Formats: sequence, C-alpha cells, structure tokens
Amino acid sequence: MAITEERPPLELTSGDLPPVEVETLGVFHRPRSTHGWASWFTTVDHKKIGIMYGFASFFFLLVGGFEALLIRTQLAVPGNKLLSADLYNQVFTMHGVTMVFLVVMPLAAAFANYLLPLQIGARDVAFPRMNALSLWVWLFGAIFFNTSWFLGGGADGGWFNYAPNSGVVFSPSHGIDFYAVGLIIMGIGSTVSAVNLTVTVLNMRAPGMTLMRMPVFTWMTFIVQVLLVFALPVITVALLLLTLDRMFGATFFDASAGGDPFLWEHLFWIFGHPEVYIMILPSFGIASEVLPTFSRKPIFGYPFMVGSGIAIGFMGWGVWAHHMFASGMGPISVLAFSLATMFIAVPTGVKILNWMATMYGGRLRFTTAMLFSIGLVAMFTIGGLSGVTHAFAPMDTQQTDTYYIVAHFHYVLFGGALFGLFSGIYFWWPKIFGFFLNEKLGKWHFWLMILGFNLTFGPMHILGLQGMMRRTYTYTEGQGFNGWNLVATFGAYLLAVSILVFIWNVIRSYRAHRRNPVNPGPDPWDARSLEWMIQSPPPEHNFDEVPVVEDFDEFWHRKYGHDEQGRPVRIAATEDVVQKGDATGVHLPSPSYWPIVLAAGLPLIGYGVIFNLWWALPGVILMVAGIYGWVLEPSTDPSAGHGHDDDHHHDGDDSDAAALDEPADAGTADGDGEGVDADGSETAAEPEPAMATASAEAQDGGSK
Amino acid sequence: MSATIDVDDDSPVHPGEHHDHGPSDGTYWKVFWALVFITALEVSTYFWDVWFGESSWTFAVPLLLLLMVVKFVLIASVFMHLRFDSKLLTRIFYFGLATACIVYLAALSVMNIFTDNGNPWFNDPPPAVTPSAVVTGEMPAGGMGG
Amino acid sequence: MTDVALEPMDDVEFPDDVHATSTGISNPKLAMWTYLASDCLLFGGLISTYLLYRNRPGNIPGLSGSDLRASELFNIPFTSMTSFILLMSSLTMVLAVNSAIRSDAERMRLWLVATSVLGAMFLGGQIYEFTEFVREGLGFTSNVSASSFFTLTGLHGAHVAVGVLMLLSATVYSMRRTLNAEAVETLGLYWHFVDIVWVVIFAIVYLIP
Repeated sequence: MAITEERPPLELTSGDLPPVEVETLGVFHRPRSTHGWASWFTTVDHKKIGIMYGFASFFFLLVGGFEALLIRTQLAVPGNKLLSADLYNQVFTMHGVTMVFLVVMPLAAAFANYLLPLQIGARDVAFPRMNALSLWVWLFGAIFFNTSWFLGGGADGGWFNYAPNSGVVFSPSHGIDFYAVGLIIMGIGSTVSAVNLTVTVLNMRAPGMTLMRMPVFTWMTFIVQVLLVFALPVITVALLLLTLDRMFGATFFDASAGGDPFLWEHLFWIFGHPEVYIMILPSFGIASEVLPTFSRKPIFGYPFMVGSGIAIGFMGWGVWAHHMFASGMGPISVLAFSLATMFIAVPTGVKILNWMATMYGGRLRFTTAMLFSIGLVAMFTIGGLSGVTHAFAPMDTQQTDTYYIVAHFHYVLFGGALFGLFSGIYFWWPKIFGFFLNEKLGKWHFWLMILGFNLTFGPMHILGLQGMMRRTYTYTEGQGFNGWNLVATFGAYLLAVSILVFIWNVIRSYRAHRRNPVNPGPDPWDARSLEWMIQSPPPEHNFDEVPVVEDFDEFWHRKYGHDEQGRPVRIAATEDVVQKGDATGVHLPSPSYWPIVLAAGLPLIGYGVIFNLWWALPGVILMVAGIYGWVLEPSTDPSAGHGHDDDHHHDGDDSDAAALDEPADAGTADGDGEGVDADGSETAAEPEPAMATASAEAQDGGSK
Repeated sequence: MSATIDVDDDSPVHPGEHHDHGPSDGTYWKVFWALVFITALEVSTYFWDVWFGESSWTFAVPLLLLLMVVKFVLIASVFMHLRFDSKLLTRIFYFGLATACIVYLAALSVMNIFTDNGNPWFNDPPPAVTPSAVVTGEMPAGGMGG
Repeated sequence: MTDVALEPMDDVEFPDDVHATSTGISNPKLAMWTYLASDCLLFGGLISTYLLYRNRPGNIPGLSGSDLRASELFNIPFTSMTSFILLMSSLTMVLAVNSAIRSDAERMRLWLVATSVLGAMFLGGQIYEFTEFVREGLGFTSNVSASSFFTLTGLHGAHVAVGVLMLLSATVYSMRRTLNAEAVETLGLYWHFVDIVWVVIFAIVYLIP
C-alpha cells in the first residue's frame, strides 16, 4: 500500500560542479518578491493565479456582454440598420467564442486553480510554474484573438465555424485565421493546465484524502480536467487542418477539391460535446458545495453525485453527432446518437434530484450564494428539458438553427454555468479576499439577473418555434417576431444592469472593508470542506500543517458530531479547529519569470503564421529561451535560503491504483506509525484566539 | 514475455509495490529482436501478392493489424515499463487510446468510409451504379453502428 | 473519532523535488503519461483524416487537384529501413535509461547520443522521402490525399525533432549538472511514444493499401 519513495533519486554525479552551484539562464536575477504589483507577473502561487484567471475572465465577460447587447439592440426592431450583415456575423461569432473560451472556461479554471489544492489539503498544484504558464498562455491567446477586431475584423463563421463558411472564399478577412490560431494557443494553455490539475488531484492529496472523500467540487473539476485532456487534441487537429487550409493552400474542407466539410463537423463536435460538460460540470460542483452548506445537511447521495458526474463525462463522448442531425448523415447514425442523447439525461437528472433531496428538510439560509445555486438548479432544469426535446431527431430537424436552440443553450450555459459561477463568487469571496460582498446588493443582483435572464431567453423558445432563424442579422415586419424580440432586448439590458449592480457591489464592499476592516474569519458560512479550515484570505502556504483526513466533509466532522437522533451536535468550537496561519519554515516554490516569457512567444508566432512567417522568428527565439531558462532554473531558488521545498509531503495511506476503486482504510493514515496518536489532542490543547477580529494584514504577516 | 526484474536494492518490497527498476538489458535486447522479427514479417506482406497472388491480401490486412497491436503492446509494456509500473498509468494511457479508437472509428463509420455510402466516386474502386439501383431508389446503408 | 492528527512538517527531510505522492507515482511521470494519452487523440485524428482522404480525389471527375495519390509513391523498402532505425532508437533509449538507473553516466550519455543520432537519421529519411514526393509531382497542396499524408507524417516528424532536441539537451545537461534517472525515464516515455505512433502509421498508412 504505502508506496513512498524510499529510494533516493538516482543522481548521476558527473562533471566537477558541485550540485548546489546553480547558474541560470538570463540577464535578470531570479524574482524574489511575493508582494507588490510586480509579483503578480512572476508568481507561481495557485491562489494568485486563480485570482488573475478570475479578473481576466470577468473582463472578457464584459467584452462578450457588450457584444451580446449589440446583437440584441440590432434585433430589437425589424429592419434595424445598427449593424451591417457582415458586422453582425462578426459580433455573434466573437460573442460566442468569447463567452465559451474566454469567460466560462477560465472562470471555472479560476475556481479550479484556487480551490483544488485547498480542498485536497495541498500546498500548491503539482507543477506551480506550469500553472503560471497556462494562465499566461491562455491570457495572451485571448488577447491575440481579440486583436483581430483591429486587424481586419473578427471571425465571422459562428463559434462552430462550419465549412465552407470558414474557407477563404466565404471569409476573406483574417478573422477566422485569428480564431484558428488563437484557439490553438488557448488550447495549449488549457492542455498544460488540465494535465497539471489531473496530476494534482491524483498525486497531491493530503493523507487520508481518498478519492471518495474529495469534495464534490474537486470531483467535478477533476472530471473536467480529464475531459479537457482528451477533448482538446481533437479540436487542435481540426484547427490545425483549418489553419493549413486557410494559410497554406490545403483543401481539407474544400468539397470542390475532394475535401469533406463533414470532417470538420465531426472533429469539432467530438470536442464540442465534451466541451459542453467541461463548461457545466464546475458549476455543478459549486452548487454541490453551496447547497449542503446552506442547508446544513451533507450532500444527498454523495457516491451518486460523483458517479453521475463520471457517467456524464463518459457518455459525453458518445453523443456528439446530435449536433449534426440535420446534416444528412444517415438514419442508423441518427438513431444511435438520438438514443445515446436520451440516456445522458439520466445522470443529469440524478444530480437535480440529489440537490433537491439535499435541500429537503434542511435548515435553509437564503444567502446570495444559495439563491444563485437554486437558480442554477431551476434554470438548468428548464434548459435540460428543452435539451431532451433535441434528442428526438425529427423535432430537432425542425429546431435546428432556430432561436429555440439559442434559448436552450443559454439556459444551460448562462442559467446553468454562469449562475453556478456567480454562486461560487459570492460563496468564496470572503475566503479569497477577506471581506464579504454586500448581501443586500447581492440579492438585487440575483433577482435582476434571473428576471433579465428569463425575459431575454424565455421568449426565444417561442421565437424559435415560430421559425425565427439564428445568425440572421435582421427580420422583417409582419413575420410576427416583433413583440418577443423587443422583450428579449429589454431583458438583455436588465442583465446588463444586474452586472453593473455586481460591479457596484464589489466596489462598495471593498470600500466599506477599507474603512472598517472586519475579517469574516476562516469559516463564515459554517461550511464543510478543508478550505474553510484556514484563514481568510489563506496564507501563502495554505496549511500550517497538512491535515490528516478521516472523513468526507472533514472540516464539518471536526466541528460537529451526532446525537442519538442523528442531529448534528457541536463538538468543537470553530476557532479551535481552524489553523492559525502562522507556520514558519514552510518552503514554497520560488517565483519565476520564465512562464510569462515562454507564453509571450506564442502570440508572436501566431501573428507570424497569419501575416508573415518571418515575424514568427522572435516568438520562436523567445520560446526557446523560455524553455531553456525554465529547465536550468530549479523550481526552488536555492539562494532564497531554503534547501528544499516541501510544498507537499505526506506519507502513508497513499491510495495507489487499488485505492482508486475503494476508499482506503482510515486506520492506515500514517504509514510510519508516528505522530498520529501523540498529536491527537493537539487542537484541544491549544485554544486559539478567535480569528474573527484579526485583520487581514495581521494574518498576511503571520504567514511569512 | 518472461521479463526478469533486477532486484538489486535492499528496500523492503511491499505487496503491490511497483518496482521502479525495469527489466535488464538482456530482456530489452530480446524484445528488440522480437520487434525486428515482427517488422520483417510485416514488411514481407508487401511482397505477398507477388509470391502468393492477389488473394493473399485477405489474410495480410488482419495479420498486419494484429502485428501492429502486438508491437504496440510490446513497446508500451516493456520499453515504456507499463508492465512494471503502477496500474494507474496503464489505465490512463489505454483509456486515452481506447477513447481515440472508439470516437474516431465511430466518426469514420458515420462518414461511411467502411461502407458504401452510395456515392460512386468516394469509394475505391467505384461501385457499379446500376440503372436498377437508381430506378428502385435503393437507400444506401447508413453508418455501421453509429 | 474526529481527533485531529496533524503531521509536523518540520520533521521531514526530502531531497529536492521528490515527494511522496498519493499514488506513489512521481508527478513528472504521471504528467507525461497523461500527456501521451492526450496525444493519442491528436494522432488518432490525423490518422483518421488520412484514412478518409487517402483515395481522393483519385478518379473523381470534375475535382481540382492532382490525380496522384500519396500511396502510389510509397517506397516500402526504404520506409521499412527508416522504421527499423526508429525501432532501434527505442532500444538505445531503454539502454540509456538502464544506464541511468545504474548511475553509469558515461554509458547513459553514449546511449542518449546514439538515440538522437538514430532519430536524426529517421528525420533525414523523412526529408528524403518528402523531397522525392515533391520531385515526382506530389506537393503539399497537390491534392487532399497529399495534404493529409504530409500533415500526419510531418507532425510525427516534428515530434521526433523535438525528441532529438530534448535528448541532446539532456546529454549536455548531464555533463554540467546532475540528471536523475527518472528524468531520463520520462524522456524515454516520450521517445517510445513517438516510436509506437510510427508503428501504427507504418502499418496503417504504408503497408495496408
């Protein structure tokens, strides 16, 4: 069972240089600072990286939201001339791509980066520098993609960009070039991040944290990373072929030269359908954390929650062609994919029922986070039901490319994914920043958003069934579309107002916090998982001592026991259970500027591929320099005063392959048989002062 | 393959512990010669139509696929140490491989590359389009198994 | 039952970058295998593309592009030889890993260099093959069959080239610093993967008509 590495690494001593002497490539000294604005560019701290993911993707949410408002304004009245047909094509394409790849995915990645190590009791991810790399690659790719607006116009083929519209004949501008190359770049970032987080979940868990004790959010994020690992290469192939078609004269998707436009559709949707679950599962995970906390009940049917997540992940690979029912692929294929699609509704339904069962009989607290999670359950159910109607091929043929489809996927991706992400923002904000968001404004935000959302996308069901086609820049008087379109546009502006309320909430709450800092304490919601066991905001090293986990909802079980009726009874004060955040002698990976250098090379190569290959040369040089600088630099700066980093260490109860299938025995929590019993009463023996009044600054200082 | 494992350190061997040390050099050589032999057999199929006549292709294709799988597994298990490492690695790798095989084979089936899609030009050799097939409006088979 | 067991972090001494992990597999190795599993889908996609397009445009009337197919120009004896070279490089790679495990740095460097030389020979063979194709009138843009062939084998070649660079870098690195055996093994995993992809390409693309 215990597979600790007892053998020291084989070191090949060679040459005359003693191993401690390190020369690194570069003209700058290695960055040391972990404070100040400059430290954000060199940080390898998963928490800072998560925050940067969050802010960057929120910025793109505003960009994509602005594009959405343009669309809705154009469609408010028939025959509108605000946008030309060409500009309209660009705006809806950029809106779609932005919302999928620049908002929902990275916002989920923000939570994944921030919370995953905390929830499994780790000090950082498995490869901290690669984590920074994936952030910068994604961010530079996203900026690269959006610069197309200033270099000849955005992509105009729709987010799924079917051939032949994606060919140079029908789209002569550089927009789709930016789409192809930009998504390849972002895909590289996501692949690196997905491999990193997969390894983190498998390898970096605290002692006793078996797979079946991981919080549901961690589980869902883990499934998402696995899906990303396997789905991204497929879209990379498609985008590579598209790039070769558009810029190097190949004819992969050109039917007049024997190419097959179907190939694009298949490759795109083999990626695209897992992508749908990549976007929604993190929000499912967030709701599965929020609902139990504010119901004061454990999640109902934890194994079924995990199992249904895995089932969704598996089955998501077998349903892609339901996006192509109208493409004429033959009755047997349609039948097979239609059946598979109907089946995938089952695990999703399991989740919905489990959430409701979690709330049933619970002591509910309707905080903003809770409201958003309930909103997710309700809105996603509507979107799921309209999704099942697409599984029936005859009905789907009728609905394809109408606003009914638009309504459906906004109900699952906005009403589902984005509501869940907002729920997570309200839930973890005090943990991440050390102050609460205003609950009153938060509730305004929620009610405005859910009202605006339903006003915008609800009518689209009707419009679609009446035959209004999506991706058409206008409609005429007398088609009967006027009324509902006006309502939808009104709803869209209401959504914009709700986002403004959110921004105002952040500003106001921050100002109030600056005037009168009140720390929410480590556990403001009386929550259940490990991240609430440390201070808010968490110290840089996360855990003073790596917790030994003995239960699902470990932190809850440290606070509460059960009476005879099974009701929770407090057995320990929160202040006694939480960690103080004052550990010393914890060595963390040192900051590094190589990730951002390496990442900066990629967009340069991208411009080179699009405009002139020679321009790619500086990008290649930058990347090669970045890679060699990276390799030659040890992950921990030896001259920073520490001999080694033990950002993660534990021994014993290591679940090897066998433990993946069954929860490991908690009794073996310490393989070396030391420490457990002696430390058993440690928390009780050392009561700590209540943390609720300690200021954020004090804790920050304590972590050094 | 009976691979011998060098146990040359004195660390305690726990049940289920996977040994980091792979097989000995000798085992690698043996596997290498086996791979060379298989490759030679593979290449020989190229000449089969000269030696045994055109019909030998019926056997050559399945044999080639089989030999390909054998080579693949040999390299993965021995050279890449999958046999001697944690089962988890085997599962991860073959899960990816299986996913790739299943989705791409399904996609190719839907695109009718294994079947007659009714298009006289996109198959080789082109199927005979008889007038009766056109007159009776015979439906081409859909995908196989979706 | 909820007594808190805390593990003092100060007591542990671990060498650089080596931590006990939950699965017992080191992080780099697990990451490499995950990446290789992901790469299966990359090459799978390109092999499927080739399978779909290998006979096009062929005899389809009215389509633009050359009638020549990539498969008509294959030089099987030559490609068999380059395949054999790549297979041999896998052998030298495992011998390098074994030398690294035995802490025999000199041997390890010898085998690493041998591996990269064999890899470079394979690349040379591929360049020769490509120029031969172009000479006989089948360029990258000639038709969709040629495009998919060049994309598939070209991307494989790019993987080999990256592998050769990594091998040479590792060799040079080991002369200045300590290179642990696991790094060599992880590098070897990448190299063998490139080889097994070629095993598949050689059988499906070259040998099956």
